[in-house]
Amino acid sequence: MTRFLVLFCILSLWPLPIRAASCCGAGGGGTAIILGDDRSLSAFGISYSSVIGDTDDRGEAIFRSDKNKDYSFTAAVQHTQVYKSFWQFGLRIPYVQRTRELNNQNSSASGLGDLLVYGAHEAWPLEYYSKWKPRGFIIVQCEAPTSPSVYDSMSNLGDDIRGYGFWRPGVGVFLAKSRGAWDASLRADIKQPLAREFQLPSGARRTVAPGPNLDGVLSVGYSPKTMQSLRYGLSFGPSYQAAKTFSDAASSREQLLWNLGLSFGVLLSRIHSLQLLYNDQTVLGPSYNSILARTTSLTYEYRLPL
Amino acid sequence: MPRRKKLSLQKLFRNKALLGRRSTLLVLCVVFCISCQSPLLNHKKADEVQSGVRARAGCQSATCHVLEWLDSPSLSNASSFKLQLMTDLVLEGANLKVELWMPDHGHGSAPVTVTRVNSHEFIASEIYFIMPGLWEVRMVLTDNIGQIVWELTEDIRL
Repeated sequence: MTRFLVLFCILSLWPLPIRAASCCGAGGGGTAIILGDDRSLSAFGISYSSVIGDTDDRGEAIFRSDKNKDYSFTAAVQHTQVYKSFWQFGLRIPYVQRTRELNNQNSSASGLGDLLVYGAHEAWPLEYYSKWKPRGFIIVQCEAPTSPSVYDSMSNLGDDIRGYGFWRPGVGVFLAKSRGAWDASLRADIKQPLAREFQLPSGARRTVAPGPNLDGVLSVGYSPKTMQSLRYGLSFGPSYQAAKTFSDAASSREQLLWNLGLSFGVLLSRIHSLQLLYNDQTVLGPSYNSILARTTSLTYEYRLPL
Repeated sequence: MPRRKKLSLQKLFRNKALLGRRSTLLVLCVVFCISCQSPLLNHKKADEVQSGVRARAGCQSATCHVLEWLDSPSLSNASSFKLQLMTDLVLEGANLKVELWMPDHGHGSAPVTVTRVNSHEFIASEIYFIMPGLWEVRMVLTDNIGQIVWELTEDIRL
């Protein structure tokens, strides 16, 4: 029973690895799905993300010098509420401070990041015990462009860029299974950002229509038999963005990067837990046209049992 | 006739040791394949990357230009260039706009500062190539009523 409690509680908050949006957006977190016998889940997380390098259209990686730093701190509050057993809804509000240093120049800006709202339906509940069948959720989500993007930036060093810049609705599937000391999950999302018109510094207007974004994460976790309140996790998966089209320029090219995450969770009590997550985009490849970042985050979770 | 032993999925999973070894091998193979092009193992340092471009010249529509980089395009420093136009056009009151654009990514960079030196010379400064790849430096000269009188796009690969 204790083991199930531990797994359910730790699995309750199953964030996607924090991603640096492929060009210049600050890190965005994922949805939090409640898997345990909880009515609601509230989380507060802080994260530090540092850009290590970039990859070009040929897949060549160039790591930035010590004189060229780009890092951000994000504080985010998130709440997920269960509604009528098989439905849940949530909201994530991030606050981002981004700093750029280039040689002797130093510039920093802070403000609201992109808001995320989501809903999940447990489409494949586990009504009877099964060794292999996972629980399955269908997720609907939408990111709102509530912060400046690369198309809105007016700063020389781009430190005011905190978001993706487009309404980004999407659907996803989340499958989770725990067995014994082990658990595993698979998450796949597709998002279709909506076209938007931006005003250029020259005064002209440009319409940008991004292609679909695809993300996938495969995660495994282990809770030692002797220390069941702990969980060690490993996750990896790709993040792909199709080309963007422009009203006054040729289309861009597709972007791809791979996330590798390590996590450590500890259950402090039935309602309190902590999770430490490290995500690295420099380890796995191939990667094209992307910014590569390393992110460390610490999340405190508070849940209300049913 | 010897009966071929059928290894069902259930039997396979019953043998935990075999499953453990196969799963581990499979995961290692996947991770190895994905790591083959690991940026961590195959990368250059930004300090090593400079375009090497110093100056370029050309002519179009009876207007010739010389573009001389005062600070070479670089990933580590702000860059700047001087643009000299040789033309019969009257450029008094003309306005030069410079925009950086990354065609593969579909975005630009910070606004570029343009200073007029004399009627036919401009200096563009505060040019930030924020990441490696192919960049376009788009220059558009408009007259005092906003009509384009000359334009040029310079490709820079960093």
